Amino acid sequence: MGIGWRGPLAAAILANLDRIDVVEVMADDFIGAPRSSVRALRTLAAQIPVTVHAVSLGLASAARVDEARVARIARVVDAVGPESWSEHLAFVRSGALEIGHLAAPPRTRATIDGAARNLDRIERVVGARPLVENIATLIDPPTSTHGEAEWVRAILDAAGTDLLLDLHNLFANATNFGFSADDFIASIPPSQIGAVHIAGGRWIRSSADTGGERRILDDHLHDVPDPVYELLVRVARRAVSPLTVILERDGRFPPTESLLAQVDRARAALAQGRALAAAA
Amino acid sequence: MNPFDLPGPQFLVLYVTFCALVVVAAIFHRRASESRSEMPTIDTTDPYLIAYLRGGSLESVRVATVSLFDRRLLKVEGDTKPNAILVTAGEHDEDLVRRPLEKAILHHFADPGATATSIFGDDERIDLATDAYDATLVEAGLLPSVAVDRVRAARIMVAIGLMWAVAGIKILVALGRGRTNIEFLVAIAVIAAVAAFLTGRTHRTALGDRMVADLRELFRGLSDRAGSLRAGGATSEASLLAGVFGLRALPPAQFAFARRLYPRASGGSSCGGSCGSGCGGCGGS
Repeated sequence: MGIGWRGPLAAAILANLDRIDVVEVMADDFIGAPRSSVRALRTLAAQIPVTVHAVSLGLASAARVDEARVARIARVVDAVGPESWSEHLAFVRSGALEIGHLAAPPRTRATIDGAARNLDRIERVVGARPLVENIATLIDPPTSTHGEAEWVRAILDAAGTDLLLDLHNLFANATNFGFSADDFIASIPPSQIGAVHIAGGRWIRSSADTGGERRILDDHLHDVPDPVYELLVRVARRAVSPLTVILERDGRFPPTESLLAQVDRARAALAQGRALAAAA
Repeated sequence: MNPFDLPGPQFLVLYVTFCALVVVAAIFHRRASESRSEMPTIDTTDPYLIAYLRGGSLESVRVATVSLFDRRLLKVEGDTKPNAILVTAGEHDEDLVRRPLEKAILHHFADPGATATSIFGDDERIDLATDAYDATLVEAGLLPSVAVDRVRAARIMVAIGLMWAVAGIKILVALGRGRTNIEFLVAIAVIAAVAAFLTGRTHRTALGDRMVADLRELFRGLSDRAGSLRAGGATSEASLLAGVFGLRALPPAQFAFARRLYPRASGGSSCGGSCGSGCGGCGGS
């Protein structure tokens, strides 16, 4: 069980390493950072297992991933020596235009093949394939020919990599677009779930011209909701190997005890899932 | 050209340069021999261990004492001068803390008449607690071991020997030529020896310096929002801030008691005494 490393949480994390097993650092925060910052990451990695998370590659695209950007991520990965690293199944730019957030690509054969090619390129530079993370979206990607579960599974199979299953992203998408999160989980072979993210979000209402519907926004600014813990129990029940679970919180930081309580609750959910599996 | 034939002023310039190079070379050699690529694991949950690494025994005791004040396990008795503040602890408060250093400090202050600075005197329990930190940090390679100290002493002797040998030869040459104005050369040789000694026998190893620098980098977020910290001991953040950056990093408005207890270490007004037990020392660098 771990927490995403953010500057304001550093003291809370370092002061409670007896209650946290792993931290996840954002690779992009350290691209172009002073050497002292990257060196400090190595020292952090000596204190606790570290995983690296990237957001800027935009690998789920028919377009070729920017290898200079991959090289910068590789330098961070090399410096830290993480347990694993991960990136999103998203596109983040079109040509020179940066979108500024993780966008869901059309779920088509082209993006499946593009993602697989990009993961090959990334592995050549970094030396290891990232776990790939399912993303949250407020818009069902137009022109898609595949459902989300089918698309994710196809990329995992084509690229020979594992999934970083973000349960809040899954919960948000399942709620927003009316599919079963359980079916999604069931469609992924347990051996291909390498890690799990949990986070919180909030309800928003879309604009009137898009129907004014209520949707869940994955903003990482709120506590983990109950359904996410319930999904974690189900994932743990199917798990065939230990799972790394990371709590993501990007702002509106609550008191440390509140964060640690969420970590403890996730730990309990894992234990509950394993107990159910053992009893079955 | 024989440098020992140079006229006095030119030789002095050359000699200062030589001494500087020797001292710098000794520093680099020390850093290289005391570094390693793998950083050790330390208990980052213990602010007093970090304070010991940063500033030694007195600093860890200062940070622990301020932390106990923050948690209201210590209190000031009476209105006295800064360097003779009476401090008291409840009889059973040792049971409320878990770290040996905290227990030892509370035990010390349970003695009537204990002052904010008497804590820096002889106290076997405090010495035991801080010795444990020392042993941990020496084992991790962050503080010099006896073996490292021997290597350091040898390095310093070589550096001083080189610098003094050159000065000695020049003095012999000068005296042989009937010149006795060797005071500047002797003074430079002595200053260079002091510099070699001070830079060669630092509190931490080079690895320890790196650990402190990295901890400061990792805790930068906490330092940036130090002004929002509240006194009262609700979290360990204030203790960690003081452990990593020193008491000076505590916001003075919320932690006025730290300045009252240890004015110089907290960056407050001078206590007028010498650095050390008289006013709680100057804090670690």
